[in-house]
Amino acid sequence: MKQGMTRLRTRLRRPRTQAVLLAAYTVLSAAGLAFAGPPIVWFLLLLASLLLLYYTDLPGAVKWVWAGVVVAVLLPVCASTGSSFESFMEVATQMGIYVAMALGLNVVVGFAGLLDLGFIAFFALGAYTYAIFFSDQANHFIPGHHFPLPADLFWLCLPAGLLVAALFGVLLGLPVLRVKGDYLAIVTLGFGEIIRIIFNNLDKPVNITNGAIGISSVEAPRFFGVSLSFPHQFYYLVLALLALVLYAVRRLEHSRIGRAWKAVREDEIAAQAMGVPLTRTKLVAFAVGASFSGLMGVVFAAKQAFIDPTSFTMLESITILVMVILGGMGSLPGVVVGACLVTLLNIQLMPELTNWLNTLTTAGVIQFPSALSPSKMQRLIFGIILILFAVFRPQGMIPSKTRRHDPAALAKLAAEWQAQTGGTFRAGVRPADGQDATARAPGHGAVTRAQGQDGAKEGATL
Amino acid sequence: MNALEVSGVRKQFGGLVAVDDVHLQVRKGSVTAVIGPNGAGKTTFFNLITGVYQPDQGDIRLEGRSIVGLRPDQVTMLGIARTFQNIRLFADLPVLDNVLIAMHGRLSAGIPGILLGRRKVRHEERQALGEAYWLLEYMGLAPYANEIARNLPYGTQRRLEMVRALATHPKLLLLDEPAAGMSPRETRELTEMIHRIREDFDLTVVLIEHDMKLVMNISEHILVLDYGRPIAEGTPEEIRNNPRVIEAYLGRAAVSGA
Amino acid sequence: MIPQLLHSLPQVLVDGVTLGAVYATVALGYTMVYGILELINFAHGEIFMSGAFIGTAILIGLNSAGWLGHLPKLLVLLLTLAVAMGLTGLLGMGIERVAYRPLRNAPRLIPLISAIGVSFVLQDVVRFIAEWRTGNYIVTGVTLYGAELNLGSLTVKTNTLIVLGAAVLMMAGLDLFVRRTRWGTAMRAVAQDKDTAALMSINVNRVIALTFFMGSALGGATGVLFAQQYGTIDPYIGFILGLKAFTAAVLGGIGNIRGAMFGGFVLGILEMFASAELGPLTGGVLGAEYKDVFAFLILIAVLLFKPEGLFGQAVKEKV
Repeated sequence: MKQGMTRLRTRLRRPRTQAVLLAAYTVLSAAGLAFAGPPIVWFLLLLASLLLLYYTDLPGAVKWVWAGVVVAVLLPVCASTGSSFESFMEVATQMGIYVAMALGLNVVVGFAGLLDLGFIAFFALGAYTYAIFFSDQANHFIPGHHFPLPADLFWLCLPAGLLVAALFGVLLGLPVLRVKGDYLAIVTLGFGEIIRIIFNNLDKPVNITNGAIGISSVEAPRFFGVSLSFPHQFYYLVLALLALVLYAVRRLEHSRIGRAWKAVREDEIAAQAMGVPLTRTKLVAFAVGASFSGLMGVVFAAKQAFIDPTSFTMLESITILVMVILGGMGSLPGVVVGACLVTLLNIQLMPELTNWLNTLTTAGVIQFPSALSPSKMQRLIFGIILILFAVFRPQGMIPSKTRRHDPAALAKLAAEWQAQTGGTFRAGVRPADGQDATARAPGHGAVTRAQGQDGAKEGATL
Repeated sequence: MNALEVSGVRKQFGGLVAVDDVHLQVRKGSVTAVIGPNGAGKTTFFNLITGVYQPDQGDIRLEGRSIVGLRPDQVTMLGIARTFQNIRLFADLPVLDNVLIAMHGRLSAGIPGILLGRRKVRHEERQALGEAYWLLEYMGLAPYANEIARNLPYGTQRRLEMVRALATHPKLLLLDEPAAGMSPRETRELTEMIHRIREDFDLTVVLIEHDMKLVMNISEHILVLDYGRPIAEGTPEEIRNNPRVIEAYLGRAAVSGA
Repeated sequence: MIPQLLHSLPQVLVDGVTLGAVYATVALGYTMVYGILELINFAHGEIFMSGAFIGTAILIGLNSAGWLGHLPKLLVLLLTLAVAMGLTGLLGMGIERVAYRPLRNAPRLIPLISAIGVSFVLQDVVRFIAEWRTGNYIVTGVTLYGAELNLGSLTVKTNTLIVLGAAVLMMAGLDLFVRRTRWGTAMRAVAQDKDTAALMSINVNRVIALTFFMGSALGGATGVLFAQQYGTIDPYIGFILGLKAFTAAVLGGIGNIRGAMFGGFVLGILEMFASAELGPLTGGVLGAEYKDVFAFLILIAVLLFKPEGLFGQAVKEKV
């Protein structure tokens, strides 16, 4: 019996077995989504296959391709058999937008350890960038009847929204990031409100944002002459952008910059003592996080064709924070899962639960006060999630994993390095100014490999 | 030229003068110790040199260049590295990342290069990994490369702090109580290690230490602080017999009794 | 323009000082907790809001029971204040016990997150109760002192005097408590150094709990006064007001009790001035809707140029 268990376990560790099982599971849930009801359950099961995929031991490239096939082909195709195809795609698009934003906030909160409570402001900046110039709103303050801009220029507006948000991230960050960590939370909280107040009131003296009424009849974007109007079209747009964001975050995380963010998060004083400039490092985190949010803001405005300041409240900022905390600060799979779950909870689960309870109430089965209706209880649910996770599981549902390096490969690199530089650097041979990093070639020190190993032995006894 | 010249440095916190009119000349390649009772202002002195605090008065020069007014990361890039009295590793990060972070200022990858995966960036990253691992091998920490720093034994953490400091390519190494919490044997090994890295990396070393045996063994020059003020300076021999030093450490009675 | 400014100045001052009194007493809660734990108690604004609802609930209850007309007003006010203070005080202690104490050694980010969680939970629980009992979460309470004094162009509600008087009394009381009593000394000791205080046989946990009780009770009482002064309340009043009270605390030097009081009054007067004069001064370009922006700019300016506040001492970080 016990032997059987062990054998099963070894079997399960084999990537090929994992792949077969996972494929079976994926096909099953995809088939369920296509042919059986209720779709939402199958939809979730299909998404869960991606999480399982994350835990398999398949090679990285295989994982990416697999995931790409599931989200780009399997999911839309299987969902298209049902009657609610477009509403599904709408939900999936929303999820994608939130995942990208949560990944952005994760850079700020998870990597750099800066609590930003006004993150939605950058989303608003992106959204207004598109809405103002791709409706006739801009005619109110720019003379000549140039607006709306042609919808083909949407593609240019994506980087524009990204840059505007990044720019404001830097502008806000410059004064704010100098102050101590805890103040940052409250200042960003204030900033989020301020941006909303300004957008809410900037209909006079010059009408820039159309104030509380918001901007309507925003142009639908066009791509090679095809106008994007269906949710499934936006789904693919968001998917493409999300892939870019994921790629960027992963690259940055394991780079010089990502390491500096984490150093600042762990210990600001030690980070500075190791040559990491605090303010600049934090600013970059702020700007990178903000830029993802601004990018998605553009998509949001294009998708909704209407925006007003009520979409950018503090509750939205906290919603994104909940995604990050729930999933796991600094953990990419965690943040993705957290964002999916919270989005589903928000736009699918709670409204459906409310409807169901309302039906029961009208049918006279139960007496249910409308004050308790789940769709109004976001704050309570989010609040409880935040407290519980802070107290009992601060690392989130899926804690971040550290990257392991293969010692043999490292040893090879170390040997290469020694061969190239002659063993060690010597302080004395550096240029006196010491600031030109490229000019600071390591000298030809006298330390040999043998001595190094000698040191190793000695160190081990120490 | 001296590696470090401190002249007339003073630092006040509210009513407390933590460091008062301290002068120090550190010869290139030497080992200098700063000693004194608890609260004598030794760590504040280090914090002034490394730019954590700015002096109210006085000047600090590294190889002739004034470093007053620079931020700590700028000071580090000019060639002063330090360890901390109460170990400040990046505790939740792997050992290797701890060392790589210390190379931050010497690497040049920017966001575009990283996102595009430019060859220069990849090359630089490989070099950095190689050097980091080489340094870990040098200090006998290679087996721990993938460990989370928090999980290392105490003495190993102290050694990792040294590796991290070396990874910044310093000219001047400041060690804040390197032997704190170590057994006599570990302390002996530490002495050898300090000598070795000074040789191998052409370093000038300034250390704060309470372990008098270590101090007397290792240093060529000693500065004694008491209540922020320098009360004695000289070779180990001179310091050992200085009555003011004995008084500061043991109290007046010990002096008159002796 | 100048004569018009001067003309409205007395009214601005009276309104500003009243608002300032509210900010000041709420700021005390922030500053006390920060002084002792170095934690921004995000939930404090919500404790203030809970106080406002508790007070309003008591008064509505007394009113519908028909007792309000028969009891002396002052007695009713004192009673309401006492109950609200007791309940919000306990609420504050409970929050500390559940959401902050387990996190005292966690990374600094974590308690901030649970603090936000607490503040959301409070908002929604109060919203639920109010909506359930009254059908609407925006509640208009019973005003005890509705009379107005007219002094030429200046209008002063009797209530304003009550708010001011009560706020000043509470602040003076707290100041005396912290400076003159044994518990106050213990509080200051814990704020200085928790470990050393513990060695001196001070029960640190109890002192922290007491700090939360007192700060929250003050906040709750201010909530009652606020509801009296401004009439209508909703579960979300604590958010912006809390932000401003925190600004006041920072302005006065966080951790500094007298500084927080001063900061509150300064901010109140500045804000009233801004909301009354920003329109006329800018020729109608900017109006009262920007008064919140104004308070926020003050916060940024203080953090930038004088982060230790007007009366605080520069804190040195232990390295």
